[in-house]
Amino acid sequence: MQKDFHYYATYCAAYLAGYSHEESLVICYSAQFVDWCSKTLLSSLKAPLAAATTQLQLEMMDARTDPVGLQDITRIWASFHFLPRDLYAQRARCSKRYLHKYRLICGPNGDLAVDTVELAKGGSLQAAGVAMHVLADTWAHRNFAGTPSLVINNTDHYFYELLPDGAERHITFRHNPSAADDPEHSVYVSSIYQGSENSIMNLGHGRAGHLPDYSFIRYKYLPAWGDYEEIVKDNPADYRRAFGQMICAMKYLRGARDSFEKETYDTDAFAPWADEIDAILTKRQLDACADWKAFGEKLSGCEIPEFDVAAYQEEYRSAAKEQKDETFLGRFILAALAQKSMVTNKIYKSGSLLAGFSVDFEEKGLRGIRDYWKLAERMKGGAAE
Amino acid sequence: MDGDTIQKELRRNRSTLVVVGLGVIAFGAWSVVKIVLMLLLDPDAFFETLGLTEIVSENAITRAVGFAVPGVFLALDLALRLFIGLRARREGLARKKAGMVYLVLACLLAVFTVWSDVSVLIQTLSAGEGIGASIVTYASKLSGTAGGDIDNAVVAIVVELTSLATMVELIVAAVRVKRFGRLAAAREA
Repeated sequence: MQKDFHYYATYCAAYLAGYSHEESLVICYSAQFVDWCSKTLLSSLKAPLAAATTQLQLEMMDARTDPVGLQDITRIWASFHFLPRDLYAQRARCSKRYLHKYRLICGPNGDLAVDTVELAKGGSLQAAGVAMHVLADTWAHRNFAGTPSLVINNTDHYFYELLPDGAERHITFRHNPSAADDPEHSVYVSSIYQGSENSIMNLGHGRAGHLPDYSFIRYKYLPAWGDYEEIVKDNPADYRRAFGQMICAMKYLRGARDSFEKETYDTDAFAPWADEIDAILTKRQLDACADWKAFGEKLSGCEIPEFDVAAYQEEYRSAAKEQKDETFLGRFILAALAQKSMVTNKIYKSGSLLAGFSVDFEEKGLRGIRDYWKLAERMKGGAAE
Repeated sequence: MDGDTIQKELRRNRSTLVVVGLGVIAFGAWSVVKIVLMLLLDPDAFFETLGLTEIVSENAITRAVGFAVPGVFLALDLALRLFIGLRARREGLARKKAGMVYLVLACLLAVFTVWSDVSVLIQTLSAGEGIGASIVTYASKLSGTAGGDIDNAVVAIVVELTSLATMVELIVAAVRVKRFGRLAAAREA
């Protein structure tokens, strides 16, 4: 998903879940910030690099694709953008190596999605924002994995857009990253085919371009893992469910619901505006920010400021060391560390090393990565209370 | 067989056609590159392999003919493989009808290749050389290259066999596409 949904639509969902305008702004800012918090940005803030929630294109170009490099890439992308649906999925007649990658395929309503929301319970608004980004992306990025893998993430020429009038139109992909997508002629940009299994070009939904991030589009294609089964992706329906599920999740985080369960969508909360939301989701446009912004401002009666990545950086930079964790970005960083730690641990416990090792500090008595000490100390302090 | 399975098999075999179509073209191009390099770098060895040394050394005209004739056959081979490969890709991409001609030509080319390889094998074995020398001789006749050692000979044989396997896979995939296409059309009707 992109800014229109992660920032503006998340604001709308937060407001409908009962958060105030100011709280909704914190949540939606944090949700959008997940797409900006790279090692480059953290480095400029002298913040823990392990809290990175994304990688810039330039970082990915320089990323190593040896086993350690791949683990670093997978930790980021699987934790925040391609949350695995079923870490214990079974597949007949395949190697263990393939099975571990297959298990990283993203999808909604998995156990990890519930764990993500529950991890944010009792936490900061920034943690709620991080969880909403992850939750929303399980819908948009379903059927792709957050690890570079040709055999999972590749697609081929069989790519057809399902038009509103029922017709099908073949989608042409071109590989010029500076060219704009052309929805009128179904010409989109995607990453170029790379025969190497672990090429960065085969990470996530690169081979399908930005199609998963456009709310208006419906299409069918053959994913490499699908054994020639056709997958139909209905983005308007998926985005609608994502919206409803975010409202459910945020009501749970606020305490307005007792639990967060899979396959539950609070459609009643946005029923009065269902047509308006559907109109935004189905409008053929590459960027729906203006429409979602207008809708959000209509809901709350308050202005939603433009997303400014630098908004809270000076606060973090100028805070004293012992107070950095209490700043806006400090709270975001803690939430990011917790999410990454949780997902990496779950992947490790499933028997896969694709996200690297996960050390239980308490059990093993090991110190592990320095960046995570603060998390362990917080957890210990929380347990003591 | 249910409709979904038919569609799935149709997609699978169309995908195979696209890939092997490219493979057939690639092997055709490789043959051209190989022979052209030989003619440029060591034409005498090439003519010796074909048993044309005496003929091409008579005068300039026979030498020119010695270059031209293989060139013509190479061009024909490449054209044939291009036609087969491009039509196979067209069938695999399912955007235009590809017809049956390419399939018939592919079958003829495969049969001819097998017949030719087997003939050379019989000829080599009946020469009464040892196994190692036979492999080298066989490989050099098969690929039209000069003798060389056994490693190069094994590689040459593997390449030739792979080229044949690609052609056979193209034929099988094309037949299956036509079969499943008919089944799918019958279900829709």
